[in-house]
Amino acid sequence: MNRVGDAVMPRARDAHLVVETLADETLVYDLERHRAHCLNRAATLVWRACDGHSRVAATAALLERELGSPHGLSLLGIALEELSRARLLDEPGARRGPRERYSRRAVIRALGLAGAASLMLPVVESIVAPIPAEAASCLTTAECAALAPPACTGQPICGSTTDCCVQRGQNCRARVC
Amino acid sequence: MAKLDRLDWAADLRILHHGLAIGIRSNNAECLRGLQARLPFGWAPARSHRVDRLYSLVGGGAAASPNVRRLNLVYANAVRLGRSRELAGVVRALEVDLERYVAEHARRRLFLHAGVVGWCGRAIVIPGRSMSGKSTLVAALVDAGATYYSDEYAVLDGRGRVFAYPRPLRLRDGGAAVVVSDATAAGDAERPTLPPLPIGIVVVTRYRPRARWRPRRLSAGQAGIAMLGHTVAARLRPAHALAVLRRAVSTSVALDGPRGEAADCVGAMLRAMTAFAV
Repeated sequence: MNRVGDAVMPRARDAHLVVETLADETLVYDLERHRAHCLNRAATLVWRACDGHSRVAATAALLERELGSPHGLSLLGIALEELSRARLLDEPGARRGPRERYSRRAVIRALGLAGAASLMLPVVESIVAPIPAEAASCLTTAECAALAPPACTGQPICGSTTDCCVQRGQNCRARVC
Repeated sequence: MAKLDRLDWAADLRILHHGLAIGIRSNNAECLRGLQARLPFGWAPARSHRVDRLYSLVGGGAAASPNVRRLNLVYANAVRLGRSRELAGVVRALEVDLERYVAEHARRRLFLHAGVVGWCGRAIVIPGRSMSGKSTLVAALVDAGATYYSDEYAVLDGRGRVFAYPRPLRLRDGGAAVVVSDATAAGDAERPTLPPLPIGIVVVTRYRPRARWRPRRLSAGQAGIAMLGHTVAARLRPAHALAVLRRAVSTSVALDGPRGEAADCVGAMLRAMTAFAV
């Protein structure tokens, strides 16, 4: 194995995270940034291997074995890139695994992956968790005007895609938010 | 709060709703009686005098001077929630805050902003933001024979089952809320007790003119994250939310894709429910 294979895997972040494990995926909630992430099977395998002392080569071999693909090192590179972008690694700036020369598009093209085969690629899907008002029912402008701060917390206004109910001076008013 | 407590309260009401004790008091007994009909479905009288949140509804009316009219006011604990010349305005403010408070703070339930119907012993859950067309879809599913559960919240217990939250179904036209379905507008006493249902399918969709509903199937993790995006207490209790959603998605199928007219896709949704989940 070359020098990349001898490198050590980074350490997965474990502080301020809530983790829920599904059959072969992982849901992670970042308590600091209020972002939720869904790690697919390949990303989950890599994240679990991020212990700070496993060898990159061993993790790449694990990926090849579990995913039935001969391109473990490339897949590992993508996974680390995704995990780093989601800030799920302890040292995102100083990754010791393979570098991002393995962009997702380049790997798909280089490996000739298409259709179902591309599903084996590591993916971390992320959302920003909603504040309660974002997950609330809309108010009419009259309902909004009857509220007084601090009851107007940004509830959406019915019939508008841009306005929400927010404080304006001593009152609550519908305005673009 | 002491100033409020010194007012002359004519009537009060203490209720339990999803494990939270709520007190409501008013200087106008008639006004409180009218409010009872607008309380969210499923409340029960509370015996204890200790409440988690106390609403004070101060009816306005004529003042000592003939040219002055007092505003109607509503407070939650000591914080003023609303003021209006119209009593209906402050009653609606109370209603909005009560729903929000219970959805955020219910200890053993998880509230998702979603439409819900029952079909063959399982629930179809349609998470979505306001104005995403979920009430229209719920109305179309009810017209097609599904049982109405909610057009506002999917209320999940610790096992991932959905409870009914059946307030009258409201469709909006240019911002005005209009009750459209007599079948869903029954009072509490007339509503049958609906059992909690396991989730059959989760439909992640939004209206797109002329679109044909050809959804892709989401993985359990993708379904969980899609539902978390509509969870009221996602930021307040993320550990509880993820645990409940994990159980909810483990026995259900999630489908994602834009839809056209509601009437054109309900048949396909009910067939998908039968194929995947029943």
